[in-house]
Amino acid sequence: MERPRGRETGWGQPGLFLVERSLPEVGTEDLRACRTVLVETCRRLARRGHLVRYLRSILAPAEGRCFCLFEAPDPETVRLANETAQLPFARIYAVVDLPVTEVEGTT
Amino acid sequence: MLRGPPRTNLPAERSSFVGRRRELRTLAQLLASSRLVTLVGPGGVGKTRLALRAASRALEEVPDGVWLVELGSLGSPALLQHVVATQLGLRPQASTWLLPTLIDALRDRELLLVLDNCEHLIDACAALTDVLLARCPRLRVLATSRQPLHLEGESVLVVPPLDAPESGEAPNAEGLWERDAVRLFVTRARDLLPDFQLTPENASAVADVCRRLDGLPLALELAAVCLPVLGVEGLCARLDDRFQLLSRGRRSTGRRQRTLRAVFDWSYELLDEPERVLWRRLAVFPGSFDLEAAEAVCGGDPLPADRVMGLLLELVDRSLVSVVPDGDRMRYRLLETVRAYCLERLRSAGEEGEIRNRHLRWYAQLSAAAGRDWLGPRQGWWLERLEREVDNLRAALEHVRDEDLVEVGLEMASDLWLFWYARGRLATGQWFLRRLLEAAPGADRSRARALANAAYLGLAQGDRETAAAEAEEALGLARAAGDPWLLPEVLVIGALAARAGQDRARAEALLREALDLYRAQGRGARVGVAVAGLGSLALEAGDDRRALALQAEAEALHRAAGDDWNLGFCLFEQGVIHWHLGDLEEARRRIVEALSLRRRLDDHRGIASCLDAMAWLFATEGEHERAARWLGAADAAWRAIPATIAPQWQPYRRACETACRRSLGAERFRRAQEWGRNGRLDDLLAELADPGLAVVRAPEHAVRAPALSPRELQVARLVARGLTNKEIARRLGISPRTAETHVEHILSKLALSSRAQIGAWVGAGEGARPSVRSLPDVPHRSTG
Repeated sequence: MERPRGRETGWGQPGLFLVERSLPEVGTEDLRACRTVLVETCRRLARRGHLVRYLRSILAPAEGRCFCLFEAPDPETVRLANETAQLPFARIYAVVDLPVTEVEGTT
Repeated sequence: MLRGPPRTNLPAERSSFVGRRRELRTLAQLLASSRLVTLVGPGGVGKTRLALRAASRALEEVPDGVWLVELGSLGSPALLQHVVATQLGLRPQASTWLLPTLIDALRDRELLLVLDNCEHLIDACAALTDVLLARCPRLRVLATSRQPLHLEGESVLVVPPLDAPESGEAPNAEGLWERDAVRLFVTRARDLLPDFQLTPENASAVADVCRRLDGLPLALELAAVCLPVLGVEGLCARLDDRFQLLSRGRRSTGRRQRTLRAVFDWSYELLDEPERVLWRRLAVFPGSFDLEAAEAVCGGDPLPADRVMGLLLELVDRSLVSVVPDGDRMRYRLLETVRAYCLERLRSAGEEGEIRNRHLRWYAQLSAAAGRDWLGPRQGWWLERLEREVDNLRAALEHVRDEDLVEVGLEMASDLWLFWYARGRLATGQWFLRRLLEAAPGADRSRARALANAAYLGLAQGDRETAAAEAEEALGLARAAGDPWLLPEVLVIGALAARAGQDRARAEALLREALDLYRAQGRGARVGVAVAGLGSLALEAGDDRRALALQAEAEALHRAAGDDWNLGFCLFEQGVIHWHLGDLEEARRRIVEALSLRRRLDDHRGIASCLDAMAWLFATEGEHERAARWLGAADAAWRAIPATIAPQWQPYRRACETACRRSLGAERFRRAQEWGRNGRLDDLLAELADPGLAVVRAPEHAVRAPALSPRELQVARLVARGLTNKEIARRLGISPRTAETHVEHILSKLALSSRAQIGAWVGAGEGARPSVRSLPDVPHRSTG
């Protein structure tokens, strides 16, 4: 997925953060609600100058675990976004994305 | 929630409501046409009063009632869902993410949710409201806020100040009386001076005061309080000085805010120094507080604690502090707008940090005192006491950020374990514990305790894995800390985690270690807890006799300690064991006593479990109609929490349902269940006084076939679980030959020909008798 770089967005140097949460026995509808809430909350916070963006989530249904990826200047802003969205979480990790480049993908 | 009265938690109005006819009309129309209405306006303009009045008028039109959620006292958006759930009377225990629970509870309800004072949590309120309105089609929301939520479909009503006389308006007394601002001012004045009248002589001055105060209700109320001292002319002159600068410019929100600020400043300056100190310090109480707390938190240089009472009453007289009657005692609070002003004053006086620390320490002390009493006769009293302080407890824990306070916070959040548990605040308690644990990688003793309590609350929410890891870390730390008082408490929770993970041997070893320590320390109440834990393990292992003996020992200890909480579990398990053993009269006696203890402690989950168990007993007696009614009542109780009966009891409940349906037919069963679901619990309980019930009839299966002995029943249940004779023999400590004989007797007594048929007989409910062994629904424990 193409992500805007810090320079392009004027966000300074955004980092990537992975938020781990336990969502056992949560249905598809509720997960959709979870996504909507995160998108909307980040949009609202960004308007107030908290430059956080929700990128995507990956779910491990059997374990009831959910991992959500955010772009933000610091982990505090990611915490703020998740608390405002009222989604409990276990941990916030600073992570590095290592996408497969086109060249590597074809070799 | 939502079942029978009460249909609302709206408070009684604190003083008479004046005017606002037009706004109330508009608001009623908006509420009829829009599912989200936000009252917007500056502090002090009267949004809350207007919302409450409109909401109480709407009560007739919304079948599922009107529920107020006051958010001014809430500091963190992360707890918003918890607070909404609690105010709705829910006691969610299923998951830490409460949104699905809230959606479930509200989906089919036609109710009005009033979210008061949203401004400081505006984004969180918007996020929650957005999802709830989308997923709950009959829900309506009335919000008050200084700014709109900015959601689609939101109707915004800007709350104007009260209608005040125009400048240059002929000051005629009758005309003035038409103005809401004048009416409010005169009404409040009469509260203090019953003879006060609007006369041609004072009309001009009254009109002037109302105009200068921009018709702001809060400003008018504060000014009216000064009337006995200053008189209306004097008041007018004072306002002249203060508002010279304000009188220019347009009537705008900004100016009104300045007006209110000026009135606050003015009120503040009229106080003498000790009163000022007290008033601003009271801002650290987010909700209501009592005198004791005010003395402890606000007393101190330069304010002697023994002067606090007199000064507090002074402030009440001046309407700067409001009174909240609470039974035979008084509690006090600051209106939200007033509190915001005082907080600013507190900050500029450089006192905020110190006073907040004292607030934390006071509530930490209170929690510790409750913690010491949890296993004694005052537990019910403490639960109620802390319920009133919940805003303060939350604010105190939210204040813990500095490292040197983390230990105080950890201890406090741990001390409150029973409050979190019994009052359905599992998720809130766990949130605080985990947040504080993150901030305290050191603090070994407190960390061990907090980890153990987090594990305890996690287990109750079915979060076994995390709980097991937390319990393990707690055990390691507690052993390393070498604190003999702490260790057994952590051991008991470690045992619960081991049992949840099916490791019964380890659970037993940990409990025995705890038991030895408690015995050596002579701590009887806790010995009771450990013994009861062993009893639960024995029950789970299928050893009813041993389980019963252990629970009887625990019962005596719980009774001696006055520990009704644990006594409730103990009696419940005894009831189940007696039922297993076929002694229905004993079984009922235990469950009924457990139920009455649960009701006294207002423990919703415990009440629901007891209602369920009563249904099983009635079904076993062949009283299927009655059983169906109790099942219905249990259903309603579970739904209201919301929760379902613990998985280990589910086979009992299913067997009971099957037996009732078979005996009554689908339609009669449904009707009886419906009756129980919609009826009042008290009517159902009145049935227990029915003298006919004193005669316990023989179980249904005993009529159909010769009764199985308790041992045979036990064997039958093991056969049903697919165990071979050899396995049964090992399980019960008998020889394989004896097991074989038991099976033969069972086959012959029930006129059956195969083990599979025994399985079917057990599965069909043995006349609604239990088919599966169980864990107790809620774990026993001691204080952590």
